[in-house]
Amino acid sequence: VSTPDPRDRALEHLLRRQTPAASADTPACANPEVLAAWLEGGLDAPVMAETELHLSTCVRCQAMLAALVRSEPEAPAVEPWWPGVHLRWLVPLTAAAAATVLWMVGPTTRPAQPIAEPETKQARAERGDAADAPVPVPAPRRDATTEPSTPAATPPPAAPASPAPPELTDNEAGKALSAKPERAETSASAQARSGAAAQDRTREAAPADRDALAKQEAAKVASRSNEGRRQTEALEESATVTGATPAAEAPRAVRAVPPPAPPPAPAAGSAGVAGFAASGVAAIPSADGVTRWRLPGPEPGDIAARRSSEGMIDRSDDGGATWQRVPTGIPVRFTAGFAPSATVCWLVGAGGAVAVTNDGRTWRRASRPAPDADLTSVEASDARTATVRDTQGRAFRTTDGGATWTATP
Amino acid sequence: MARIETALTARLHARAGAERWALPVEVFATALERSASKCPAAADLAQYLEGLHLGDLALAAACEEGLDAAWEHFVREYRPALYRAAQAIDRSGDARELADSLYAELFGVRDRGEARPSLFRYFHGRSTLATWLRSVLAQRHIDRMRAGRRFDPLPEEDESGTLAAPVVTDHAGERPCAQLVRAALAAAIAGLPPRDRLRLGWYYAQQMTLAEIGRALKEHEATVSRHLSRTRRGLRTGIERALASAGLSPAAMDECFTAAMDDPGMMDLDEMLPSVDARKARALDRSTVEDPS
Repeated sequence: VSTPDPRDRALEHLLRRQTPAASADTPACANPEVLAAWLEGGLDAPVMAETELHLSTCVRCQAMLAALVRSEPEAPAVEPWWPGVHLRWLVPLTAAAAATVLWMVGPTTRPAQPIAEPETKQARAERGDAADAPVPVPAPRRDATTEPSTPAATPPPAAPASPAPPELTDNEAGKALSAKPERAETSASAQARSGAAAQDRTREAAPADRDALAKQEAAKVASRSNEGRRQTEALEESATVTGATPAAEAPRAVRAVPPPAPPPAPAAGSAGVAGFAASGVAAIPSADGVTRWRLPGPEPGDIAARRSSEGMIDRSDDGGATWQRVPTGIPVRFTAGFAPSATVCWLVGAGGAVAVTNDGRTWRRASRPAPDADLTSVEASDARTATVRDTQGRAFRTTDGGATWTATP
Repeated sequence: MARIETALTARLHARAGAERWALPVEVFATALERSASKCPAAADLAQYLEGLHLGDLALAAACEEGLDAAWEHFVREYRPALYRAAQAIDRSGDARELADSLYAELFGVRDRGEARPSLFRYFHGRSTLATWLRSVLAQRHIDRMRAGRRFDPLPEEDESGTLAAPVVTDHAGERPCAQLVRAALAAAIAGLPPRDRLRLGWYYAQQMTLAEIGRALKEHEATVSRHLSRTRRGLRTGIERALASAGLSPAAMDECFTAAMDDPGMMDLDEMLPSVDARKARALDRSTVEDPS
């Protein structure tokens, strides 16, 4: 237990006793309208800065804003993005640990093993795949390919419990390692996968298994985004820096991985496009051809009836034959939606409202790209990456599930 | 007042859904023009107007106009939120009164011919209506507190514990190095960027939590904590630099820090102003004090 430095303790004490610089009302004090606009970012930059400068010295305005913030209604429970934010450091740590295990176990179990890469690429082609396929290909593990966006709230697939863990060669283990920095992947699954990779290195894989797995891994890697590639590089760099991975192995593992391709652009007119019918209902087909969403259109009748569609979305699990109205829990009239997969759907609306579901059932509210943005369209490639546009033609992009947005041209 | 093109007004009127309240275009145009007066000179007026919370502006204009449908909607959708916000701001039991007084101001006075317009006319759509309402509530509450403070009677001689006696500092008898530290601290705070100073003020003077500060500044609370730590380190460095330039040795600096901590020369707001609840409990009959706002 560290004892605070006496000077730090004294400073803390002094700060608690510090008299604010200005406590009297001044003509420069912001009125409630300005304060509210400042809080919501509704002022232009110079006025924002000017207001903030005043706020930093005026105890009355500070108190008003404090009261204003404290009066804010409780936000709905937000699913934690801990895999991507809080425990992000676990990814390189786990990779380093896995690399250490690989380094320690590898030489003792297969001391005379040649590098497997030439065999998997050339000898395999010469002898033919079918001859070496007596063992059925194990079922692929659940990963980002089969479930492009592992939601934060979705229990991570338990890798050790998955059926028939595939056996990996050096290359494949390297691929698994390089494919690890998927931000939405939970640390549990990352650890489990690292452990599985380490264990798998102790066994030899049947060639057919290797082939199938190589294809799976290749498909996996190819489907990853550029961000995943950057993270992969960072991971490899991290592993190299730690010195846990022999310098000769890491590049070999990387060479065996097909170059990642950019994420496939959502096909217009197919899955994920919200089309507005004449009735004003926005249909959002999903990629699986079965699940459908649609945004209820304006309803006739009184205000209460009209409002009843706010925050609501219709869901169909039979290709649109029957619909069930479900609340999103977010009281916004949504204007557009996009469903990049059967379980992922993004919705946008006025006031910068963005909602997203990772499992097709529960919705969470993403942060607003801009407080004054009336959003009219959205395109997404998974539960983390989406681009929204507003009525002013501005575009905002998120790569972290809506936690942060950046303006894009 | 800024003139807005008729076509633009009509488009914004439609986009705001003002027809729901049967709000005439002319009335909405007046609200838009009032808001346009807040538009920075260098900004594009149309872009500014497009960025407003038009639906809320239309509702406020319709309520100011006294349109029944709008009022019905406001009462149903916003009044409960108003009471909840008042309850969150003022936990002393005066929340209902606080909210009701604001509600009356929102309604305005028309029937008796008094020229007291509805408070809605001061809403310009640069924030949501809900946030503006909470902001007005916060202002009323803070000003009421401050006004009440002015009207608080001085404690009786034999009254103990109601108001902590301000510590009277004999500046002549202060140790000089304590003064040095305080002056250096004040200078260091004055030199901070506004946002750092704001975080510091909210955290120490207003006793906001990291989460609350984070909500206000759109930062994660871990980020707020990191910024505060960095600011404290900077303040300490600034003080140490000032003390070093005054020719103090490290040992003497330590002594100065300790002296400043032990020195009661600075006003302690916590001691001077007990918690709001405690003060309210002492002065429940303060309703007689007129709200100067």
